[in-house]
Amino acid sequence: MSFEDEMRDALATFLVEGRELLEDMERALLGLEIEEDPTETVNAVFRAAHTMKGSSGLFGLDHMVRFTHVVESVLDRLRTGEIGVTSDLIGALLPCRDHLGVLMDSIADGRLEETPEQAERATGLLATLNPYLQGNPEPAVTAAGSGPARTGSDRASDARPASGDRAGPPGRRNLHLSLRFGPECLRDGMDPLSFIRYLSTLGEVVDVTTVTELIPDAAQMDPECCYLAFEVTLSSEAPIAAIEGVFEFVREDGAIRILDPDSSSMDDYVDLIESFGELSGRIEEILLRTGAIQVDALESARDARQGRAAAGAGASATTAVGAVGRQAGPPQLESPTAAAAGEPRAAAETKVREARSIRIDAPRLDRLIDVVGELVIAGASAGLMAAHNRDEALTVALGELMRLVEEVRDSALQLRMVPIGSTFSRFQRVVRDVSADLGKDVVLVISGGDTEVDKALVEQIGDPLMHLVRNSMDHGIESAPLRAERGKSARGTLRLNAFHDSGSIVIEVSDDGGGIDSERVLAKAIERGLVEPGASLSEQEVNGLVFEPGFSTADAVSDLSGRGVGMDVVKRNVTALRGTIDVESRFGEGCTMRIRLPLTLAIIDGFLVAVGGAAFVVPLDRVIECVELPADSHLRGCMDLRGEVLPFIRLRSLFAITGERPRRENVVVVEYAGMKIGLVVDTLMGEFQTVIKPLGVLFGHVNGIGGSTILGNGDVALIIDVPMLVRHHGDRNAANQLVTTTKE
Amino acid sequence: VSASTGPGVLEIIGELTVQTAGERKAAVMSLLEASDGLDIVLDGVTELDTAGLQLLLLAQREAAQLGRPLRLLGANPVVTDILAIAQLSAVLGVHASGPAPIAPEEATR
Repeated sequence: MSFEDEMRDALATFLVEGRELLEDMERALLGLEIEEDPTETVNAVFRAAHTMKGSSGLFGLDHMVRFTHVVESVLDRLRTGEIGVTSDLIGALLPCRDHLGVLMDSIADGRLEETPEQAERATGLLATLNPYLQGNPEPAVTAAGSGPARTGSDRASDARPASGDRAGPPGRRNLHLSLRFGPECLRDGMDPLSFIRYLSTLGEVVDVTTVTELIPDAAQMDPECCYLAFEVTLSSEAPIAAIEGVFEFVREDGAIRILDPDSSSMDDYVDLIESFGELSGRIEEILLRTGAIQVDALESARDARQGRAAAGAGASATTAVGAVGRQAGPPQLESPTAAAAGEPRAAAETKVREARSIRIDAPRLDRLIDVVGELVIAGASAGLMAAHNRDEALTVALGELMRLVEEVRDSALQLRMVPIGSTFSRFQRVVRDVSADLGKDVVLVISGGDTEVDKALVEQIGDPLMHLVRNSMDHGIESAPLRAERGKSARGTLRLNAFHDSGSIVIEVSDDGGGIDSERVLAKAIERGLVEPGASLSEQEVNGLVFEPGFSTADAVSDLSGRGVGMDVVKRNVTALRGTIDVESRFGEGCTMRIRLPLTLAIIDGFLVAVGGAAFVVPLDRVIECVELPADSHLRGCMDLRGEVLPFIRLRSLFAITGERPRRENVVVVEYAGMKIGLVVDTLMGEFQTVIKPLGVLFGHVNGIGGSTILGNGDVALIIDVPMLVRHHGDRNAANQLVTTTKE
Repeated sequence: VSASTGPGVLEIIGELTVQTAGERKAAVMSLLEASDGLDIVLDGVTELDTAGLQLLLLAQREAAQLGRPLRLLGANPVVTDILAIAQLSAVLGVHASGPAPIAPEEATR
């Protein structure tokens, strides 16, 4: 892989991780106010900002580094307790986080520089952070967006006060870089040589001396550890900060020193030389050879240092060493193992995170599930044959095999399942922002966040949920005076809830607002010609009208409802996911929107039935029971099920299957969303595990069929789409009802 | 690890990186101890990183300590590029491959 490819890949990873960091940051920021002891959360936000800054520096994204640096400085003060958590502070930090998101998006689009608008926005945002910075605002705040500002850590600028006064960019000069990477850098995928190669984009690499003396004897040498140190002379115009940025990722583990002839003092060079312990002679020789220092200057600095030490005034020198040490890593490195022992916390945390999750391409996962599906079919087929041959030992062995296959299947499917909680918690922010916009006090209560659902569904349910949440806040929850009038607490409550229910996941958005005014909805529907005047509709049906296109009962159009996304779009999105939505409202008390979605439909437990020569699979979780069709119900569309009227559908006539009807027919009773119907079939063939193969586009419009599957003997069976059938049946009934009502 | 084409010759084919450094080190060290001298043939190296470079440096130092000649053969662009970045071409001399006899003074340098 070429270096450019590597950088491109690394940038893609940076974007993915950066977005995750931003999510973490948002969650943590929102949590700050409600937590009793926010120390750990503050640290989490700080680390996120710090890592962002580090990685953007690695890619030379100067505008991001500049911006994040200020955010990080504020967070650092928060962390050290110099400033406290306030609502205003969080209100100032959240837009900064959003701005970083915008920057990431434009980087993803290939714009590595900031646009003038972004620069302006950055300056505005940073100004809001100003009050939280130290009494004397850092130059970075005022200079942001207007040229290269100092981006190194503020401690570094304290150590070299002269540099802050310098106007304009530094000229071309020979910098000395002492690069001693952490022993683990190779294992972590950081190749020092790549960094050196990258340096050539910042200037001219004049000289590289590879210090090989730190490699231990062959017996002790760990080939995956990094023992090499590099002393580099770089001729560059780039500000120190830009070069420091390159090493941001590795500086914590290693000892990276960048010495600038303009601003580094002679003491810094002496520190560098001494940090190599036994090898100091070698380093001194390199520095002298490359012209980084002169012999007489070095001698006089040493004399001065000895003089200070002798005079007992070593305090200032110690401080200087300390400052450099903090900035550049452990100043003394006797042996490589010493550094390995003191591995910094940040690296350990990264590892923990890596161990917790791995990233997989979705197509690979799909392929795995596909293959597991085939395995299930093949296993079922072998089971059939064993049963047919009456080979008991084989049947037992296959039983065990199938149990394991099922376990594999479940784990494979589990891989796609994610808790819906992360989607829900995004709404904390939405609720916060929208309630500020609307001037309402609304609290979001989340429950059932650990309910798991297919990842693909989670991604697609976000938009409909967003609309429902906004809608509830805008139209559902009343203004504070009205709430007081109705005897409710001034603070409105919005609830997001999720749970599993017979093969579906149910997501509820409920509010304690005004509910739906059924009379007004009906009046509006009649006015729009959606319903015939005088039609008798149940309250449920009336409320369902809000999902019709172009339906709005809002008295005032706010900027939220003026977005052109109606409830009909929500319904369409949900239907596209093979789900349903309904609404339950108590006028004056509140309203609940309930979305019901399939969990995942890759593999299902099915019930195999036959009609004529055709086989059908009914999803088992929909099947309530099976009964024989009473002989006297041939002419009617319903039967008596223990005193209950059960409407039924004849699959034979529904799918126009020819052939003689058998003497006895069976009814499979299925239920969906509280409605029961019977499916009349010829024979019941029992349970069957099956993989859903989607039907081709050609059959996309066929109602009542959800997919196909291949049976053990190679035949194709169609999978019955129960919700569709039930709904279809209900619609037909409703239509009949409407017709009869209008006839009256 | 690649095929060894006779005593004292190690031909490295594929990556010489942190991914493979463990097994490569074992191969280099065992061959170095078992023979009077070692030729490491680098023609087939497809990738070289700091770990690989470090391993070559170690091999060279060990050989010198044991008083046995070690030569790096096969100037391939992957290798010369890395040596150029680290500016080690003078330290780790790589010779064009060929059946030239080992010159003791050069090898034991």
